[in-house]
Amino acid sequence: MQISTDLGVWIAAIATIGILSFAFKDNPLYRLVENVYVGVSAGHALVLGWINIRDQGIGPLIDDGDWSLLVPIALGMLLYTRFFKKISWLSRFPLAMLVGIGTGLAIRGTIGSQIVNQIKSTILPLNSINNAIIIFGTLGVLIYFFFSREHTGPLKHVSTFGRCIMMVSFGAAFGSTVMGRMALLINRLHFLYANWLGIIR
Amino acid sequence: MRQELPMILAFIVGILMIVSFFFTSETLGEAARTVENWGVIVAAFALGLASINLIQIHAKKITRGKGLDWLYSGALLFSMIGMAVLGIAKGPTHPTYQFWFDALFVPGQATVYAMTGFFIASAAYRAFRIRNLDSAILLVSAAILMLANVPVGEKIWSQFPAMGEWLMNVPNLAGQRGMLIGAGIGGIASGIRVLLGIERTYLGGSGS
Amino acid sequence: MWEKLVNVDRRVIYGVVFLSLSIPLIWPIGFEVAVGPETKQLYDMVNNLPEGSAVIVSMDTSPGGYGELSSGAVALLNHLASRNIRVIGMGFFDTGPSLLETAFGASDFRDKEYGVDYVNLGYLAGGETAMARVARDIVGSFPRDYRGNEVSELPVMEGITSCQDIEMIISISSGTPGVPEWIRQVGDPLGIPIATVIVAVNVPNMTPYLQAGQIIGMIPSMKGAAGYESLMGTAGLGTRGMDAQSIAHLTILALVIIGNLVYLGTKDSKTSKGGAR
Repeated sequence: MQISTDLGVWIAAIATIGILSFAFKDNPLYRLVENVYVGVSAGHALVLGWINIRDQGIGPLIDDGDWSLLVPIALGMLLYTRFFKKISWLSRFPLAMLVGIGTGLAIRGTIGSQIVNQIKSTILPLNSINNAIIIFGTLGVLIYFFFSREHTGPLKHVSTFGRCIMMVSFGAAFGSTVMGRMALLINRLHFLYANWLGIIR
Repeated sequence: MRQELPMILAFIVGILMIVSFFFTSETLGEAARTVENWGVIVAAFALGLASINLIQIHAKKITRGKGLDWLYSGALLFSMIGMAVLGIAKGPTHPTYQFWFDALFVPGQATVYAMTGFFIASAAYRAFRIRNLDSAILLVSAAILMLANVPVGEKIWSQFPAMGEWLMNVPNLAGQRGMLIGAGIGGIASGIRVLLGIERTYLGGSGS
Repeated sequence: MWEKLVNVDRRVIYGVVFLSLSIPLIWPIGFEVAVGPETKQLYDMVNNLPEGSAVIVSMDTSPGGYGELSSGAVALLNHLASRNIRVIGMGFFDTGPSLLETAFGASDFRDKEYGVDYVNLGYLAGGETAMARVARDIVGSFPRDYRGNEVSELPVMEGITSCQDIEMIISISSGTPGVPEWIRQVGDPLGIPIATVIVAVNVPNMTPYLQAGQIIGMIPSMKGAAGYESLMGTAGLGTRGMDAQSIAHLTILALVIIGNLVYLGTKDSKTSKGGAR
């Protein structure tokens, strides 16, 4: 056993224990660590935001004389009008631009990747039970979601099958979530035992 | 006008993004590239918004808060301003900056996320009940997958990994694909509503 | 007795979970690690990359997700380093580039030459919009790297202008923007292979993309990292964590079973007393 003599490791260990202590009871150390890390996180976002504005906007504007960049810089500054009641409506312009670009990009990408390619990959030969489950399961889930009229007759069976298939997916999601959360805890405990206390390798 | 003009802007840039992808036109392509570049810059400005909000909230807490609020809020503002000044002055790869990033931010957030491991265990004990066929399917598939994903599962029964793989790659695949296609169609529909100005909650107003 | 079990203090459950993770970490059992097919696929793909070719490693995660991904990320970086593949690092989470610095430092890239063998281009704001921009112009999107160097002057960037000059994109991913956005903006339109080191919670969502060939390989969470480490013939945190992961899963399953027995017990006792039916 060799306890760490690294200041960074000690601070990280105190932060880890501070947050973990919340499992026992809310306490001042937890509150302090939580606030400090939120502060560091917000400060980091500011730094990265500034670097982007500098490298993408101000830099090319000054160095290359690309005056068109005044448009996004002005739009970006308009975002901050939301803090002034009388002119807060001006912040809608940059928001509208971001929403418009994001929506356009998502629509054009979704059609190919999420719909056409997925449908193409579902068109499988009906020569095995697995393929049948994939085809009718996918159809069943879609019918369960999209047919708003009462599910009767054959439609009912397909949609019930779709519902069962979805339950398997939710089960898989729960199982995977447990796996992920435990991995996160293992990571933190490993840090405490190995990097800080030195009781394991 | 205060709603219509931003809506028109969203419509124009949104349609430009779509049309420039499907039609090969140098002018359209150039326009789309310019708008994309602008979008990155505007998005960078948005990164500062949270800080202004935090300053507003925590400055108030320092002056009017109860108990130790002044200490917590003071620590938050101090660490935020400290990181921002250090990062902007010295750069984010400066050893001191990376030190505080690794010593405070990484363990802080990683442990907050890790804590959900305790909460999910508690939820598994209290809420994961077999009440009907649906919950039985859900629980059985979760149990198989949890055993299939770890080496001990294979020790218990050698077929668990194969079962887990089948579960993941056949019924789960079908379910996820159905939801993916469904969400894709839904996403496109709501995207069109946004571009046409039918859905305008992002402007701070209500939908039509 | 049922009442006591129903109202058991949450901290008792936390304590049980804590012990189920701590004991195997301190006293390892040594379970043999299995390799998933999607992990083997990625391993083979990296093995088949031409020496000196370039891949993008995009750190699309926050420290919260990185706890789960670090072992997989480091194992993969070690493999890339051993194969002399150039790594073009970037991130679309603002925390990505700093975590990438940490990952490079923890991997064999620490012994490689920065700017020649690998680079950290930094963060580009805008999520999917930024990815679309990077797809067509990498150097234009990142005029300076995370360490402040002129990107166009770095030898590692020789012959690279857009994503079409890249052999593969690996997203170390825990959320949005992440794998679906890479597929939409780069993978499908340009035909660039996409692989991922991904948090467990997103693994079931990835199966449709894997089956459709839109993702060519995956390291899922710590389990995938353990598999990748075993393919590499090393034993990192992934391998060491598998014992604890095993016991923790058994513990959670035991909690679910006990919870259901308690539920049945309380239901029966209420019914026999003429209570709820």
